[in-house]
Amino acid sequence: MDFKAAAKLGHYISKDYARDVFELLVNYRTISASEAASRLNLHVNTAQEFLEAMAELDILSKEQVSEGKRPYFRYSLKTQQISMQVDLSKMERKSSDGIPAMRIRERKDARARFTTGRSGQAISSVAVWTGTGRERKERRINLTTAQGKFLYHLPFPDGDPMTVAEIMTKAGVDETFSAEVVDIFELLECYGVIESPGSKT
Amino acid sequence: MWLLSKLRPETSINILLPAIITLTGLAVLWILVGRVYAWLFVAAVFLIYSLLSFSVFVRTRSAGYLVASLFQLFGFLWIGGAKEGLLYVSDQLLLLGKFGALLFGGWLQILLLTRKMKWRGREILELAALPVEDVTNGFTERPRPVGKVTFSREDVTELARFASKNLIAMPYIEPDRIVLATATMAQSFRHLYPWRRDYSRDTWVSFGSDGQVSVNISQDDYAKYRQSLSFDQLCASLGNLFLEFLEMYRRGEGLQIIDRMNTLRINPYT
Repeated sequence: MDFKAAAKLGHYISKDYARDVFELLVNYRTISASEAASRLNLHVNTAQEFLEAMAELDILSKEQVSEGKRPYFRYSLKTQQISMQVDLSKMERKSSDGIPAMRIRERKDARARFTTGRSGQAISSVAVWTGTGRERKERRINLTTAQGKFLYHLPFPDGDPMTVAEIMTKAGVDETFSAEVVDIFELLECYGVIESPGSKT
Repeated sequence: MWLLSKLRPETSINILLPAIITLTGLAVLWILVGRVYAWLFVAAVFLIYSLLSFSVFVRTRSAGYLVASLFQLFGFLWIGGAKEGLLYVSDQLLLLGKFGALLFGGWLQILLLTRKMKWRGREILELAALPVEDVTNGFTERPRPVGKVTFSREDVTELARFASKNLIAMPYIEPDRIVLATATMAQSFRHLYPWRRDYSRDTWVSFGSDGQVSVNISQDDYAKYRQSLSFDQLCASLGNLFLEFLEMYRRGEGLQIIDRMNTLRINPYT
């Protein structure tokens, strides 16, 4: 199951009425949205939305039936068990996308506020401004130790750019932390705090 | 040595604040409650300043602050012990106060004029800017690691004592590092009194226990330069300057450090 489907399942299964709907589905051979809604005292749209979502997740099967002129769907369980399994390893960033080789430095007039940690050898948080005019607000990002050391050694706006890998080496950040370093680099690049001169990205 | 200063002239009147506060208080009280209480206020202020100066002497071991403390103490005896005043004790004490205030006041002026009681922030900024020619404003409010150097904590502790005694920088001894925060005469109040300990936004050089040397230059200090000098180079130069001081002090050339700053001939009151 991909993360999006898992999130959808989690969202619906956490509803107050979810257990009651499944109880109906287990005990009725098929059921329509209006039957379920009237039985559980729900709004028909609520029941309809829930059953449709379960059908999209392949937990229910639906069959169109016609009664008179008006067609509608009847739902039945396709499975007696629901399991959610998400492979988190798929989210791991690959370091082969060229970022460690990018030459970077802090952008001039980035208007970011760096707060130094207690040790004095790492940045503990970065505050950046987002939005414009009245929508302008400060976003503070707390950093992990590896990210803090990395940013502490980030070249100044008028300094010579260094590659991500070089900065990590200078900061004494182990390669196993490269994913979290790349993550903060990408985020701060989005906010215009870090630039990669000479790079199109 | 003559050189064109890279710093703007000092415009801060912070150094005059104690005198301004005292004279304002004197004038206001004179009008409101009369001459006797107005001079009593001045005497009390002298006593407070004397205690503060003594606390600074204890912290820095700078002899100038001991002289200042004695001048202010005798000033208190002179002003407070005046015949028509509320604290009058005897003519002898009044005479002692007058003599001591004149003696230590004169001594204090000599110390100020010979830069022995001068906070060296401007000299440090000037020396750091000497090798920097690039003008590419790249100011950022974060420290710059200068590099890893081999030194012992004892070496830096000794340099910190020397820097404090000669008002080159105020040391902050922390478990993992020793920080030397520079200050000009106008900024010196920030570091001197015990209720103010946060130096993080000031100009400083830190010596980490792992050998890491880092530098921070405050926005205020950067704005003191006539031109927007390359911030990266300026920070590196400041770090190198203190590493040079460390090396000179190790070789027993502490006096040469002072001479180097004196040759800049910066106004002793700035």
